[in-house]
Amino acid sequence: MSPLIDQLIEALRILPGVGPRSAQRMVLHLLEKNPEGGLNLANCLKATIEGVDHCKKCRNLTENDLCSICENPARNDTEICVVENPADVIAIEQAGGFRGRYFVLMGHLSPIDGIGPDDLGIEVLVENVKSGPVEEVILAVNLTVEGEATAHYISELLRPLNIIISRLAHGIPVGGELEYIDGSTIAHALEGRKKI
Amino acid sequence: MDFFTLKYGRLSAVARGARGQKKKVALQPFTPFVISLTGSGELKTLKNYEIYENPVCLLGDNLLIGLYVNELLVRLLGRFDPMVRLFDSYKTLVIRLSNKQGFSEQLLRCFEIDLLTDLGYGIVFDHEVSTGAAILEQKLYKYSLEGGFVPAPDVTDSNTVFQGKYLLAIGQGDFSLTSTRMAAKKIVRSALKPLLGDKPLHSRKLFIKPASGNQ
Repeated sequence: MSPLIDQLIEALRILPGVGPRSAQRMVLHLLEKNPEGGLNLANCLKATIEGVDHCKKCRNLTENDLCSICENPARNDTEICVVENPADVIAIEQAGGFRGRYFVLMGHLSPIDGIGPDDLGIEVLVENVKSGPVEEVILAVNLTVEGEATAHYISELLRPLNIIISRLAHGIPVGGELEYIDGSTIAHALEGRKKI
Repeated sequence: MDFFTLKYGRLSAVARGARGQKKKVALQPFTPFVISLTGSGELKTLKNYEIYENPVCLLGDNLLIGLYVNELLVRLLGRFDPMVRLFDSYKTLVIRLSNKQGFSEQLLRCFEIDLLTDLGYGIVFDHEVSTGAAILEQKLYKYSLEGGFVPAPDVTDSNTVFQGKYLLAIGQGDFSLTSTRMAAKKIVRSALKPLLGDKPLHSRKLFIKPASGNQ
């Protein structure tokens, strides 16, 4: 095909899960069925990538210095929820019930992949806790080995500051049936059982 | 993804759809699996896997030690080089790490010494490699990766010069004295350093807490 089309197919392949055939299908669709939408996509991509950066306070993605949650005076300053990715903020916000602030690590500690504390902005988090009226830090990191290591590292750093450090509960999902749940999840659920 | 296997040593395989896997148990570090692989090249494809034994759960500082050990293995083991003895010591170490009270510094040092031995850089603690003379309790020795321990006139550098009695204790697996543990740590570190090259170990950063400065 034409060099321009080949270039666009190659460019689209940077997206996760997009191979040569899906990239080709997308390009042909844009060219034949929706050239206007394609131009709009190109403009939006350029504007978003150039305009969006990390929030100075919570490291979430935003085009301003501070994100909408950090700027909102109605949020509770005494609670910070630490998550791995911006998608986790969206998930918790959609679930509702949490009115505090966030801190987005943009990943987790993974020595094998070369990701250390400096890459996660942990010193910014410690500074936020020291300088604000924070009473509780909720570690809402994933329940993986790397998530566990990240939670442990952060909790050790925050321990001297005399605040409550909590971790999200882990166990049986809503609507889950015991019979189909794996052993380690049941073990966690038993260990973290609650009095009723 | 890297696997440490009993039959083939370390190997890398592509695990398609391993992330976000809902029905199967997630492929998590420190978990013993039985795996089947396909592919003729160096990079295999993971075809199937199931948990072999109950997964262990590492917590707190023991988890960080586990990550350090994994990073060491990934950095130092060549691919497709079977290491049955090391596989066993890794298994023992992980089980001990999962037991909150069961870990001792000695176990980690012994694992590091086993690793060095299996890589062909074994440390001789009871005699001088060049002369064959026995290590004497009261004498001082300097360590080098190529030449092992050689007599040293005095303590020029406490990081490389050690008293004979501590070397003998390490050789006999007696880590009861703090000085023995300190010496073992320094010796293992200096032996690992040239093998690791200029790239630092990322997991070591996790032990250095900026607030307290302690390890």
